[in-house]
Amino acid sequence: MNEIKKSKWSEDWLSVFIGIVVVFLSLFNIFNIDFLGWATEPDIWTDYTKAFHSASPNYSYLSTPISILLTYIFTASIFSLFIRLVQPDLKKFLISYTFIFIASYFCWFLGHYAYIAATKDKLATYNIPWSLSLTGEAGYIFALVFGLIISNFLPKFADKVKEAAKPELFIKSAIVIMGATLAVKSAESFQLASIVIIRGAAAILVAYLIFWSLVYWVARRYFGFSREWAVPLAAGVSICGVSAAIATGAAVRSRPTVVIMVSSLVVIFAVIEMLLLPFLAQQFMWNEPLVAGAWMGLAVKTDGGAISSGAITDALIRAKKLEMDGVTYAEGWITMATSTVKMFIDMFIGIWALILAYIWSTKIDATNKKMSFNDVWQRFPKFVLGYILVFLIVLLIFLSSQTDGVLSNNLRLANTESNVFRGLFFVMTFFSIGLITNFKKLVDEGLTKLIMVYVVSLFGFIIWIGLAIAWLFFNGIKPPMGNL
Amino acid sequence: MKSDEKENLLKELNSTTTDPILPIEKKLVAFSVGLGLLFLFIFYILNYVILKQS
Repeated sequence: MNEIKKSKWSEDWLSVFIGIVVVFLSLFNIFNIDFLGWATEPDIWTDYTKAFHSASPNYSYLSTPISILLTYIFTASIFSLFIRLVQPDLKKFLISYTFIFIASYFCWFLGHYAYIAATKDKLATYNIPWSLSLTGEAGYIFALVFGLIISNFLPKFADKVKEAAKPELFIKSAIVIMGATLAVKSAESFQLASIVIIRGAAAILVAYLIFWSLVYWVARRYFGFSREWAVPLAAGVSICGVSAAIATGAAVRSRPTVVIMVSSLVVIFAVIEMLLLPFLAQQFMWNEPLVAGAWMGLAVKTDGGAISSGAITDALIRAKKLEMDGVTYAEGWITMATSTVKMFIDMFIGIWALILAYIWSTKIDATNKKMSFNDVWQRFPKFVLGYILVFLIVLLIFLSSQTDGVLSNNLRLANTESNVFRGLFFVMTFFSIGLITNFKKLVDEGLTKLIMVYVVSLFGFIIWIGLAIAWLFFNGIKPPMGNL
Repeated sequence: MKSDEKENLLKELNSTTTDPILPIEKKLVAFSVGLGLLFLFIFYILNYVILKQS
């Protein structure tokens, strides 16, 4: 793991700067100035020449290589600009960054191959008979696996190219940008279905007050994990995945390597859940569609994984309902239940991290009994501030622009553009995690214990309690009728 | 990750002895679960009332 040198700036602060710069530049769309529209990300493809498109129609004339090149130049510049505050050897960083960008981008592209990514409801659209239905999120897994292969089988090469492998910096920057995405979603969701909100709020209580504590207790009491391991593990297993593991790990000052190992497990298990739960929901909950949607939000750990599962469940359940009862539900309501639940959970990450930071600095790691504001401040994950700031600003702008159709559309475009970078930073996070983590020995000797607590907690009670809660709050609520 | 750091992590993972559970941790877990169940009950009642009214 590359450690940031001692500086008054931390990775936390760098991620705030980077995330805010991206969102700030995208928001120029409000004034019809499109700074970031050339950014590009892969779409699901069967013909690789049509896999990419620029984020904004204003730049549709650009060829794919130019769009990718501009995306690279922009991200390399912005990371170089801020990384200089803590790391003077820019040349090594840039060489490494270039490799990580190319490898991550390739995995991202590969993960969007229709036979891998297309969900069942889209098979006809892509004119293919079957698909693994992993959604584009499969690119993250490819990136992780590719990084692990390099790290484990080409360790000398991995050492040479891991200077810029900074998963925390990438993911925290992505989370700050995610504040904008969630703000737009919030405004839209609130308008569409305010009745779902109170049920989503319940998910917070389940996720953190009940799940976290139970997993923490299991990890500490029955598996003998230290506090440093148990805190991010409980956050990662219980509901909020990678970002929660990072936020709570930072709050109790877990070492980055501990958080990375937990995060890697979260990703792997989220994929297993994505493959399993939507089909279980289709089989047993086709008559309670919003229960199924909320369950995905409560049970599947990563944001991407949960919302993808919600979308798959949406398609599967609507098809099943049509087959069984001849009734067609409107599309998107099940996914909306998932994303609303997930959104509330995400919003609670910072609050829980703050509570843990307070308890740890006053009661557990306390060097003296009195706690100063500085103690809490030092432990508080700063990127959460960036996330909240971006969320509030974009939400306020969006809410004030709702009567202005052009402005609303421009804001959605801004969100689309900044979201390209969020996705890119996510995939670079996964590749970086793989690149700096040598699991070979851990799998042989130690990871079993980590996996055991994860399996026991997740499949032992979290999924089932989540299902019970989803049923308590969402049963009997049906989506409106629509077209399949 | 340096090799000695990896070794330390492995030792930690496989360690059978760990730092003892402090009373504050027990309180945190008990309080958190209790509060969660209480809020769950309150929200369920509110939810029920809202549903009945709507």
